[in-house]
Amino acid sequence: MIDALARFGVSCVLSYRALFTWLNPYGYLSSRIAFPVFVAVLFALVADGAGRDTIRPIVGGTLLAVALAVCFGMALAVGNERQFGTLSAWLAAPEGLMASLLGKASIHLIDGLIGASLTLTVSAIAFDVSVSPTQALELSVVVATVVLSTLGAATLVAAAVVRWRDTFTPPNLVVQLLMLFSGALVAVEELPFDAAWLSPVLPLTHAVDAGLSVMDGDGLVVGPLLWEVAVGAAWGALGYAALRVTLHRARVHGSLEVS
Amino acid sequence: MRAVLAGMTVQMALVAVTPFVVIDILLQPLVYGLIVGSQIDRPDVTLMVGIAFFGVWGAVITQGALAVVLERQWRTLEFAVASPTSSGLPLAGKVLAAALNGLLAIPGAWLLIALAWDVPTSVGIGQVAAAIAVGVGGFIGLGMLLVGFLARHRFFAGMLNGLYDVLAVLACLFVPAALLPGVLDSVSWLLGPRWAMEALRVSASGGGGWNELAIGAGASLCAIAVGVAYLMRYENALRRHPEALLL
Repeated sequence: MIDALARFGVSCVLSYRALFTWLNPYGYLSSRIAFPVFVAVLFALVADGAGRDTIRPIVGGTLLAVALAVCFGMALAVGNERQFGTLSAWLAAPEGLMASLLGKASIHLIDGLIGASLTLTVSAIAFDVSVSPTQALELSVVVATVVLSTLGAATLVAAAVVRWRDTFTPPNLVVQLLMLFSGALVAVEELPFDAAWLSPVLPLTHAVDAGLSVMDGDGLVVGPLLWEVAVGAAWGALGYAALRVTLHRARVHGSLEVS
Repeated sequence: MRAVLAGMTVQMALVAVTPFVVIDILLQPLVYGLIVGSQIDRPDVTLMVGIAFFGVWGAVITQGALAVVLERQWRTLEFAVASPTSSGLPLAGKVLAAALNGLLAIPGAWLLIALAWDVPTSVGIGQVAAAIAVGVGGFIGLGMLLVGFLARHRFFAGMLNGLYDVLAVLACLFVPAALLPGVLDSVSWLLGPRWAMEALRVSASGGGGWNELAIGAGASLCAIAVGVAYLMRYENALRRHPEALLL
């Protein structure tokens, strides 16, 4: 068991170092730190300028940091297997698809937590928002649920990356969708069209509600967190099925290594 | 001039077959516009131009960077540097083409605001056109600096991702300059697009805005001049430090 875990750990690190091409000081700083921090700062400034509460973009930006890391991380991890011509070797490995996907995602999840912490810290300081230790602890539980839910969405992103042989369009589409409809940066009911039907089935939405409750001083609300995990599980199941179908089609058509 | 036009033509043709460009030019700016517009009292021309500038900036970053990175990846940067025609000229043309592509966000932004809220009419068309020219000029200058920098130095994957939102803040595309914290405000003074946006905000609130436009025009012209000089001299730098030609 310990041996298997150790091999899993080595696989996680190797996959991260070999396939996450943004793993250089400039790429990491720009993509994993500056990007989420400035998304939160930008929309908090917008809310401030409009005379609104800056809590939503700060909490939403923090949660988006996790989604950004996981979605782009998984897209790069899977897309680059094809790009580097190692997709067939990856799929032939005895590790199995599920374990392998989890391995690919694991360090991006940790990255997402780092990005989220920095985003919350910088934006809370910049906008003079106080976060008590209890609230920070409760928010970390919310962030943990987002880790699970965006992992589900990222699996679907990975399937789309393989299917359409495009590493960047699918994660960008998902991130834009989350920014607009999850309520992370603006309440969905304030949008000029009705999107209330879409929002509850997206990752982040319920976590944003839970995060706002924490910041309002209402503590952790379990209902939205359970919904968040359920939504993530549903997206994960869909993504896993889509990835299996896509890989099967690629094997049948002999297009696995076409980049 | 022919080299600049050739660079523009090639870039336009490349963009036409790249679906990812739609995200930079239209999708991301419109999403940001919707989020911002939903929070302000009356979305108007200022928001429309902010969205358009975000599209221009997205196009300049992505297409400008790709122009250089792909040259290096395809091992053609070396030939470009050895060519008797300055290869800075076609690169400048590619940046111009990217900025022109980005202008496609203008009709998209106008349509979005007209459909979602109301037809944006608060500022005269002449002043809007002048502000767009000033702002786009500034982004072209920045684009040339960026492309020149990427041609002289090694490119590291992901290094430009944070620039989209950093510039959206610094250029005051969606928030007035008065809201920027001190350090960011000082940096943003150097950017022509900031002054173009401020001119529109002053004008939309009943003021003139021409002073801001004049400052912005000066800042954008300076950025273009520095960008052109930097881009024109990159070949000498590469001949002296050829390691930048490597992947």
